[in-house]
Amino acid sequence: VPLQPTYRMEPTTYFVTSEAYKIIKNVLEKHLDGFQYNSKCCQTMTTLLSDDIKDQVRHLNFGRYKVVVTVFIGERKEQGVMVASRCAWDVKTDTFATYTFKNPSLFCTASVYGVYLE
Amino acid sequence: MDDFQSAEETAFVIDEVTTIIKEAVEGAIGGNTYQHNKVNQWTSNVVEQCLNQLTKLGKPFKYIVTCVIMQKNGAGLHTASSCYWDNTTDGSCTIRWENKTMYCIVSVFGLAI
Repeated sequence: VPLQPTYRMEPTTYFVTSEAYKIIKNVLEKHLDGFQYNSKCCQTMTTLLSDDIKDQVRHLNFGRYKVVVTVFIGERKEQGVMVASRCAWDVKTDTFATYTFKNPSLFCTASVYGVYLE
Repeated sequence: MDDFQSAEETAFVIDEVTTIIKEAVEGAIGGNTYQHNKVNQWTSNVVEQCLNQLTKLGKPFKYIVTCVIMQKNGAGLHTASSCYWDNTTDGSCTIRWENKTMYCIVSVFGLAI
């Protein structure tokens, strides 16, 4: 259902970064604690994690906010990795939260972006 | 105001975005060997170049650009994303690029205003 413009000057509820951060942290720690990197399983694990995070963030009910969740899982083998992101948006209303989980066999970086629809 | 623009001007065009990403990656790291002290700058360059070109398109979109650069040494990497948005107006595009020493994955998410 497409949303109509509200003509409001600002959102009624702002996206709370700390809540999103707590969700990411809980989801990653719950699923990945003691998990061994495995090429076949990690494929399904990444999609599972991102769907789980997205559903929980939606339940926080930040009205008129679109949610984008990205998850990266990599094997730890002494390689160098860099994950970076930039956004072109409205700094007053849009924000993000990110968390990196590490265990001896893998690392996992998850980010949630909340973008307001005017 | 959006009603007066044609569908083409306000849609997320994957081909255009793909070209922009590929040019940005080639320009920033094409032909380079993985160097740990340069990666920070490279990811910033790729992402900033993408964002600049995307905003020059002049479309009513907010953009999120993510870049991962990983050294090639046999390790595996998996990525996934989930989005809660409007399927008719929003879109995303992911490009995988590699050379002899590294992988580069760039994702662009375009969210209509």
